[in-house]
Amino acid sequence: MLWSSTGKDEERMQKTQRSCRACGGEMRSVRQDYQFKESGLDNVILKDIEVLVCDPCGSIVPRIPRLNDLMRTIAVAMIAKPSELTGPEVRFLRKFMDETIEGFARKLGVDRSHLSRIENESLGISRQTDRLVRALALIHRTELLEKLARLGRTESVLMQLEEIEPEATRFRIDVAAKSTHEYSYTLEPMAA
Amino acid sequence: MREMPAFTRPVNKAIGKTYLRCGRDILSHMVGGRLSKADALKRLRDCLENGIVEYHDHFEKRCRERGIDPQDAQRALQKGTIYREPELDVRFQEWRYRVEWTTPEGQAIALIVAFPEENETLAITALLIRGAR
Repeated sequence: MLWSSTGKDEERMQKTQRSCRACGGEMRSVRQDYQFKESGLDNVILKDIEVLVCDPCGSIVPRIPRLNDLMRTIAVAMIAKPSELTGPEVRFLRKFMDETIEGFARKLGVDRSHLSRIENESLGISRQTDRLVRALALIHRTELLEKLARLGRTESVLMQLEEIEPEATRFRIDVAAKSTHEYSYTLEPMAA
Repeated sequence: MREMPAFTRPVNKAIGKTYLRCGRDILSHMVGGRLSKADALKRLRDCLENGIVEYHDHFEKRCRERGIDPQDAQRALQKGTIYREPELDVRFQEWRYRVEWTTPEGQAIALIVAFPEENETLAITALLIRGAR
């Protein structure tokens, strides 16, 4: 059941009235896919969420329910990714753990400059570092393990660690509401 | 015609909305409640967990322009603190709160947020705090 399918939600959408902060016009509420750039990543798509659209000036304001769960979902989607992590994904997981670049580099056993180059994609990530980043995220933020358990994907993610492809393929992370209280994700390979 | 009491007399119509010369308490009732700093922070955290967060159309763009990683702005919503008293936005008749946070790397940032409804937060913009240590 998606949020969009609940009658109560539709009723609330109709009630949502906002003035556009850019032009002062009236905004209308619609449902559509939204590229969640506010996450700091350019490959996260929120499926079928409510957005407010201002027709005169073209402003779009996403209305995102349960942001904390959404950020957890994005983090577990990265940990579950079947190919090596890209630089921005490593940075996302590091910041999700509230780690400085120096502190995280020490935990990974690499130089600060080495980690910086990985994050900026001027250097590929090694197989060991990739797995260690994922494991550290799960250890450091135990709510990610709880999230995986709620989605019933713990076993599959742990099994998948054995089969991570050596290329840092870019995946699109599609996040949708699994229920009224939970987000879920799907990973779609992106065209080169 | 009987003269209006001084505190309800319109004094400025320059920006499309009439605002009134009156005390803070009267203003609070007019614009849907001015929250204390602690209550505003509690409402923000509740919105992140169970409510709705809206992002102003230019939020991500402003972050990039000002050298702020949008993910740090997210963390500021989750971990930041409100130190200053809210300011009234006269045009939209809402109180705006400033959420401040220092990233693990030492970059001090502030987010400007408003609460259009009880369980909704609008993230308006992000700023670098100059001179922060």
